[in-house]
Amino acid sequence: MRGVGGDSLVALVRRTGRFGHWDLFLVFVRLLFLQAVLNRRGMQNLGFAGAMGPASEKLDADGRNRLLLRHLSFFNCNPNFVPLIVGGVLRMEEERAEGKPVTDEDIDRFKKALAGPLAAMGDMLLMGNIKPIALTFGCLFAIHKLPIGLVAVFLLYNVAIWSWRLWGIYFGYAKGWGLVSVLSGPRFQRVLSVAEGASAGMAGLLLGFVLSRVPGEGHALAVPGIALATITLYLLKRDIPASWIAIILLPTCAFIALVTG
Amino acid sequence: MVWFVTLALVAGVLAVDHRAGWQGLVAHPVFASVLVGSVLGEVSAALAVGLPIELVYLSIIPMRGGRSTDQVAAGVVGPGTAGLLVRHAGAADPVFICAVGVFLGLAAGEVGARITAPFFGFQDRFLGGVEFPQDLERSSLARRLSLIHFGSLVFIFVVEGLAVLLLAAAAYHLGEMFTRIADGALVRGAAYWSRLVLAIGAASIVHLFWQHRLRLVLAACAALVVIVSWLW
Repeated sequence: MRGVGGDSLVALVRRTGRFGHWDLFLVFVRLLFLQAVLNRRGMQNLGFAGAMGPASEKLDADGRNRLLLRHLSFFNCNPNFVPLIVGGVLRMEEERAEGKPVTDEDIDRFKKALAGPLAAMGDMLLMGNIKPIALTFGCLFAIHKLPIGLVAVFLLYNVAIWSWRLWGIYFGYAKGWGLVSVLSGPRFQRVLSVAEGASAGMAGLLLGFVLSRVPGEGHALAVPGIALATITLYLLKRDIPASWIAIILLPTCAFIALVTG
Repeated sequence: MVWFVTLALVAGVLAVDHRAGWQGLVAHPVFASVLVGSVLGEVSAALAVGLPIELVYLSIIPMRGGRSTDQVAAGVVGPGTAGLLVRHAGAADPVFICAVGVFLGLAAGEVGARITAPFFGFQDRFLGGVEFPQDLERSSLARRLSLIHFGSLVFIFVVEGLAVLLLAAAAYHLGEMFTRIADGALVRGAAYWSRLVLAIGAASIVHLFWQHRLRLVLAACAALVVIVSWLW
C-alpha cells in the first residue's frame, strides 16, 4: 500500500515514536464513532477530544487535562479525513512534550489550516464520488438480483474506507506539520478529477441499464416515463426532493387507474 | 410484534452506522434491504423494494450533516413491510406488494425524519452546551468524554429504533389494509407507478452529475449501454 509522498504503510508503521500501534489503534477506533457527538456549536470538538483520550495519558503525564481541554475548541472536517489531522496533531503534541519549539497556537493553526480544505476534499471525493460509485454498483447488482454482489460491494467499500482511515492516522503521525505541504500539492486535485470522471461513468452505466428497460415496457410507459423524468429533473433543480414526487405520484396513478377502469 | 422489534433493532444498528461516523453503506436502502430480507427470509422481495427507494434517494447525498429524509427508516420499513406482507398476505400480487413496500418505505423516510428531528435537536443542544471545569483531572475528563460519546451512541440507537418500531407497525397494518381492499384497477395503478418510479430514479442519477463535463461522460456511458443492450 503506497500513499501520497511515496510512503508505504509498512514504512509509516516503523516510524512510530512515543505512541505504539495499540495507542494509534485505540484512537482509530474512537474516530470511527466521531460523528456520534456532532453538534452545531462545536461540530466534532467532543469527538476529536474524545479520540485523543488514550493519547493524552502519555502526554499529560502529570494528571492535568491541558491537552484534552485545548482540543475541545471548534473543529469540523470530513470524518474520513479526520484521522490524518489527528495523526499530525499527535506528532506535534509529542514534539511539544519533548520540548521542541511547538506552541499551542501552532497546533491550533495546523488544525485550522487542514480542516477546511480536507473537509471540502473529503466531501467531494468520498461523499460526491466514491460513495455514489459504490451505490451505483450496488444498484446494478440489485437490478440483476445478485445480493452476493451487494455484499461484495459492501465489503470492498468498507475495507477501502477503514484502510484509508488507518493509513491516514499513521501518515499524519509520520508527517506532523509536513502534512500541510504534502496535501497542498496537485496530486489530490488529479485524484479528485479521475474520481469524478469514474463516478459519472458508473452512473451513466446505471442510467443506461435503467433506460434499456424502456423499450420492453412499451409506449404506455416510455412517453409518461420520459415526461416524468424531465419534470423530476426540473423539480430536483429547484430543491424539491424526489421522494416527495414519488409519494405524490402513487395516489395519482391509482386515481387514473380507477377513473380509466 | 417480534418482527417489528427485530426491525427496530436492525434500524438502531444501521442508524449508529449512518449517523455516528464510519458510514459503511449498510444503512442505504439497497444494502439495508438485503440485511432486512435476510432477517425475514425474503431477500428477493426486500431487494425489489430497496432498489427503487435507493434510486429515488440517489439525488440526496447528505453533505455537511444535512438530512432531509430518514434513509434508515425508509430502507428498513419499506423492505420489511414487503417481506412481512409476502410472508403473511398469501395470494396477493407480488408486484402490488412491492409497490406498496416502496410507497410505505418512502413515506416512512419522510415521517421518520420529522419524528426523530426533535430528539436529535435536543441531543444537539445538549452536546453543544456541555462544559468541563478547568480544574478537572485528566482521567475524569477523559472518562466524561467517553461517557458522553457512549451515551450519544445509545441515544441514536434508541431514538431510531423506537421510530422504526412505530413506523414498521403502522406501515404493516396499512399495507395489509391496502392488500385487502385492492381491486384490479388499484393493483394496475400501483404496478404502473412502481415502473414509473424508475423514471424518477433516472432523473436522480442525472441530477447527481449535472455539471457540464460530467454530464457528457454520463450521457456517453448511458448511450453505450443502451446501444449494446439493444443490439444484444
